[in-house]
Amino acid sequence: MTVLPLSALAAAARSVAVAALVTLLCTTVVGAQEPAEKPRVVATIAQIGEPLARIAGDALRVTSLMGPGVDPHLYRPTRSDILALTRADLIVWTGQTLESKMAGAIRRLGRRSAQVALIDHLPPERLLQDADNKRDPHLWMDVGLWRTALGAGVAALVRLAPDEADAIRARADAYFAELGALDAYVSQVMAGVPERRRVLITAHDAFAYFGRAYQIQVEGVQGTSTETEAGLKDIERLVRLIVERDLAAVFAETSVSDRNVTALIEGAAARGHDVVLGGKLFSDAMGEPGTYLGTYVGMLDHNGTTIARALGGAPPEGGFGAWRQGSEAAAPGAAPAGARSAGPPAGPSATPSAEAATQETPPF
Amino acid sequence: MAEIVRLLSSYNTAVVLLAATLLGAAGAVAGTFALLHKRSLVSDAIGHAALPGIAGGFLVALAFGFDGRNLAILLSGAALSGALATVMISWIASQTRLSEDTAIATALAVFFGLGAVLLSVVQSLQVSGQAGLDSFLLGTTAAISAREAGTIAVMALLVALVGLGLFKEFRLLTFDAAFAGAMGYPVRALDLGLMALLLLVVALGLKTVGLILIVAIVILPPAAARFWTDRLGAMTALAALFGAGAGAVGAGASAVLDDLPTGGAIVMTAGALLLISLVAAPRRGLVAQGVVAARFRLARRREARARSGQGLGQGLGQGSGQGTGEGRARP
Repeated sequence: MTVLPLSALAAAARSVAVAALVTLLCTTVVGAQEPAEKPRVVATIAQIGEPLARIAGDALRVTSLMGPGVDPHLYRPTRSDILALTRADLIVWTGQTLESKMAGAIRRLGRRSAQVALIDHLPPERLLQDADNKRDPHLWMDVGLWRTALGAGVAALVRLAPDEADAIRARADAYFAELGALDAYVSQVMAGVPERRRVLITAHDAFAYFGRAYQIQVEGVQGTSTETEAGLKDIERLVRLIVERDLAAVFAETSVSDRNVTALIEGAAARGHDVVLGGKLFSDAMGEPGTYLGTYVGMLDHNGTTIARALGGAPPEGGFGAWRQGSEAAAPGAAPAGARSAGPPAGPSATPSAEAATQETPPF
Repeated sequence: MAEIVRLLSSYNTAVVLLAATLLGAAGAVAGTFALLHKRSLVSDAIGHAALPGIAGGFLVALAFGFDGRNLAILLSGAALSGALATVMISWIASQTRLSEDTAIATALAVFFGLGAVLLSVVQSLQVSGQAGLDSFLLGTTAAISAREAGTIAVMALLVALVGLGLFKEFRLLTFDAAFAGAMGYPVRALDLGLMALLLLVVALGLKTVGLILIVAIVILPPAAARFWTDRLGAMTALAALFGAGAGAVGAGASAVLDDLPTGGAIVMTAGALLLISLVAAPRRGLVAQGVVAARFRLARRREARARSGQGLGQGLGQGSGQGTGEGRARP
């Protein structure tokens, strides 16, 4: 026994190290679950994180990994993201086809903590396929669909904080009522666009659900993914479409380079047809957190109002906020009570007030 | 036929057709010198080196309170880091014992790694406008605007003028740099000038047609031209012709056929030209060399037969053995 084989020594050292690591991991996990600290919920994109933060209120700590202006298709998790995912008691994400670069990490960590892929909780017949026959993940473009998807997230929140279940459900009901109004608003302003001109041309096809929900033909220069390249024939076809349907505007997106759309404008101009850049739409990423455009409601309000206005509809001045106040003034007492958001963004609250109204004036 | 003419003469197609043709020609001219100087991959290194420039430009623009997507700042950043990469390649190749391919690979890896790090930094900042930043690396050929086409035309003219004006110097540099140095030519400056030419083409091409296409345009047509001639002048002209042809045919095909990305079509055309040259070129092509080899074998066999006929009296086995031996020694 005087000569201990080196390999045995190494193995012993390794098992000690592994044991230490396991203990460390266990203590951190246990530490996170101590009653003194609020359970942590990590959402990948802000379209999930911002609504859930409002619904969770003070009961849970909800954070989003991706900041504004980030393309979730291409987002690579950093070390601190992995750390946040490891510490999370619940991970809420969209699904494989959106957060493709993070899917592996989320699946692995999801075994330790709960993970909810929202797209898996929707009935398959309500999902659209993209060009590669994969599930199109841009669910948030259809407010009704997104409300259903967020419902799965809310159920997970309730499981995580059963003591607060009633408060969470009440806030969720209020928020979903707001989404219902938003859905009606976007439908209404889109219906105001003359039918022949109801064509939405953008840089890439993130708007398929939007088109289906609000009856507008959607054409993307680039296809569903931001990674494919356009052919000249596609460009020419869209230019002809613009001229034939007498379209007044095409749209850029905040997260995609607007070269392709600019080429369309030039091409139409050469045929003597004036078409303008109707504004930048939020496709995959929302605006700065803490602003109205950094909320899900603000994002959809901006998109709907911008599209309707540029294509020749007549959306109300002040967008969704003004519209809703108008409709509620007509029917007083309809506002759901007790649902003031506790999340960081200063978006429109479920109970409109004079203070909220000033914030709600969208900056466009 | 009338349908095709109508398709090709509509506005966007005409602009892209013109720009792709000019860019193809200019890229091929700059690429010819690079190829003979064993610097073809410098174009790839410059392309990848643009990444830290773009990410750094974004950060600098934010720090000084500009919009992060300010195009002038992003492009200056890309050109600057591309220039730094070429200086680094030239320095490593001339001042250290490392070979040129190692120098190029080193620059490519270092700059691209730096770019990946900077992009993570950008990603972790809470600022908007960062999405699609790396897609600035990949322009889209189908979306070339009239102004970009104008810039490409000016650049092509510049490349043609520099190539013609410094033709003698570049020829010396590419074939015998030591001799050029002994003759009193500023070898280092010429080397950097050649790379600056390449940088110009690549930096402009990145924004308009994307990284992969511009590298293909710089490398493939000169490689194809090399099969047809041994004279530098003829090779340069032929490469320019191939580059222009690939640009025109590729863009035209993408306008006529469905679902054909323009950049990809141009690369495929250039690749096809290379393949044809590889197979069919006189003297250097596979067919020509095959014919030469076959003729040689035939001659050898005939010779062997003649010998074995002569040495019939001395015995068959020995004579044929001798014949093959001599046949092999003959060329």
